[in-house]
Amino acid sequence: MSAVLRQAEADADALPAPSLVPASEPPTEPQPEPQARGSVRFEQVGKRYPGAAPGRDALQGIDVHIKPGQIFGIIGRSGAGKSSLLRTVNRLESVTSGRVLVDGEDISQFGERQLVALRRRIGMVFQHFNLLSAKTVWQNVALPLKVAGHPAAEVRQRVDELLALVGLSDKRDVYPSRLSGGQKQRVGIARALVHRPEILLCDEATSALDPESTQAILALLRDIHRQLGLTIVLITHEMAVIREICHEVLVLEQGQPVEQGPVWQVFGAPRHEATRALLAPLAHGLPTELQQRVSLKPPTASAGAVTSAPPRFDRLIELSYTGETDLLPDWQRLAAVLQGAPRLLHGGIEQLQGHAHGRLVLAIEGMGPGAQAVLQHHLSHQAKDLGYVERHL
Amino acid sequence: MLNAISDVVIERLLQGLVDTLTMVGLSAGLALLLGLPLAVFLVLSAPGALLASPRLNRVLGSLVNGFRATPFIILLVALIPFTRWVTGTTIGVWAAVVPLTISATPFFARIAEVGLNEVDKGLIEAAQAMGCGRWHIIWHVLLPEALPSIVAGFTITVVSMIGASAMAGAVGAGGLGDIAIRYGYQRFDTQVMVLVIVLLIALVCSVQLAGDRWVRHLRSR
Repeated sequence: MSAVLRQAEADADALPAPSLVPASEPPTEPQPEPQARGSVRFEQVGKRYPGAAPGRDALQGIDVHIKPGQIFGIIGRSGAGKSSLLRTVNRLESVTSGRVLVDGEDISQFGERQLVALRRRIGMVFQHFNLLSAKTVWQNVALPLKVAGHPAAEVRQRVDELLALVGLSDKRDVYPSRLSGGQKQRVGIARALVHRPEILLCDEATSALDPESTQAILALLRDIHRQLGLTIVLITHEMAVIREICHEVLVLEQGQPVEQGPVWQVFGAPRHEATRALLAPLAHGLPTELQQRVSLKPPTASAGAVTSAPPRFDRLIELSYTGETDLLPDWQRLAAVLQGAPRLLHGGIEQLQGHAHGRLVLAIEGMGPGAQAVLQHHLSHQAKDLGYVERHL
Repeated sequence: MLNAISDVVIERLLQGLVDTLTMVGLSAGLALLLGLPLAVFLVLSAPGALLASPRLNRVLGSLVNGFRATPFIILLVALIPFTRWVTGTTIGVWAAVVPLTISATPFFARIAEVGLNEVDKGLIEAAQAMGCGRWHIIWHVLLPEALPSIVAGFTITVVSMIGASAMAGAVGAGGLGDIAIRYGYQRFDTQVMVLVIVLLIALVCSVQLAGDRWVRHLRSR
């Protein structure tokens, strides 16, 4: 794949870059050439659909700056306004208050012709692919160039190049109905890239795919991002997608931004209830079996027990790592602070953009005085006493 | 019974077949040319669509319904002044083509409208997102995607036009239906009646078969 990518890139470099506006449609006015292209700025963006009750705005008070070259994720429960927000970037949806600036230009001021030119600078990939069933793979990818009036030879070269980039050169004359979901999305991505956009919008691009295709598409997006350096804005309800490829993430709740920041920060220490709810599937929750055995009070030896050996109990301690500092589980120091050898029952630590985060559940015989404070402040970001559990062995 | 068919009858039937094919062929072609743009406009002018203009949409919709509500035999007679103005005559094949076209156009437009409305709105959104103008969307997205439904609808239109053309005898346009009414019904000539019906069945079946095959081919992609 990477060899193909490099080849496609080399071909792309050899070609004179087609102007974004076709010859038949000259720009209405000379536009200032910004330094870095692909920035999106939402300024107090609001959207109310006609007939919606007051206070039930689809979007409200969105103030976000997406920097050029960033992979920016937008998450939220369904109906939170993710899709509406994404669609304001290429004006498939218009805002009812505030402004959306693409490369510093207020796109709500754009006329029909400027809007078409803008949309050619912004590629879009859809959840359900939205490929034309009456056209072959090749024709689907060629269509945006054809309607823009590019010469046939150039269209041929560019489409072949893109089909090679997404690894579908052998499927060029096949109709979309004969493709798998992952292949369809590859065609969708090729089509979205055909104008060499500076921004790529992904609307739940992997949500209709199986886990394997999802991984492949994410790898492709990451590759494209590395090779072409474009800005990617994606919405998804799959938190794993955000964790996998995004730099920054915005959490929407009922049309309002509730949390925003680098993925490691938001995922490592979610502050808002909505974020925590979204991230719950990713958290290493206690296994049900263990949960059922935990009691909150120190158990006393049951009266009348005739067994020779009294049951022994462990305390459960949960240590969280949020990635805030370079803190990592230090087994030796843990063992020193805790009485006896702590046993690891459950949990995991993973790297998010170079920040370790996760949680561990330890079973220990007991804690010395002040141990909790040491755990809390020096050995983890947060230490929680979960209760007591009977020791099996 | 077959032995008894005289040359006169055969000649009459052949002439009728030619008249029917001419009438239906011409008016079907015209209904296609007029009905398809009408259907596209009905779809695009609907509230919330690309060229939303609800008032014009309602006026056009009522006009379409009005023509569809009028029985063809009434339309045939009522349109005589208009037919004369267009063709310069009120009898013969051309005199039948005008009312047939005017009756089939709204019928086909409504059927094509349904097909066009079934095109996934996501495809239109995708076309907009890739920088397609309205004409591009009509030409590259709406029409090709709705083509199987449009072909199926056109087949239904042609079949119903073959039926309607039987009344064209009222303006002296001839055709198979006319022969069945004049010879079979009014002169009790059972042989002609049966032969006409057999011919009409064969005609309708072949139109339907051809249409179905085409649709299947388009859908198999």
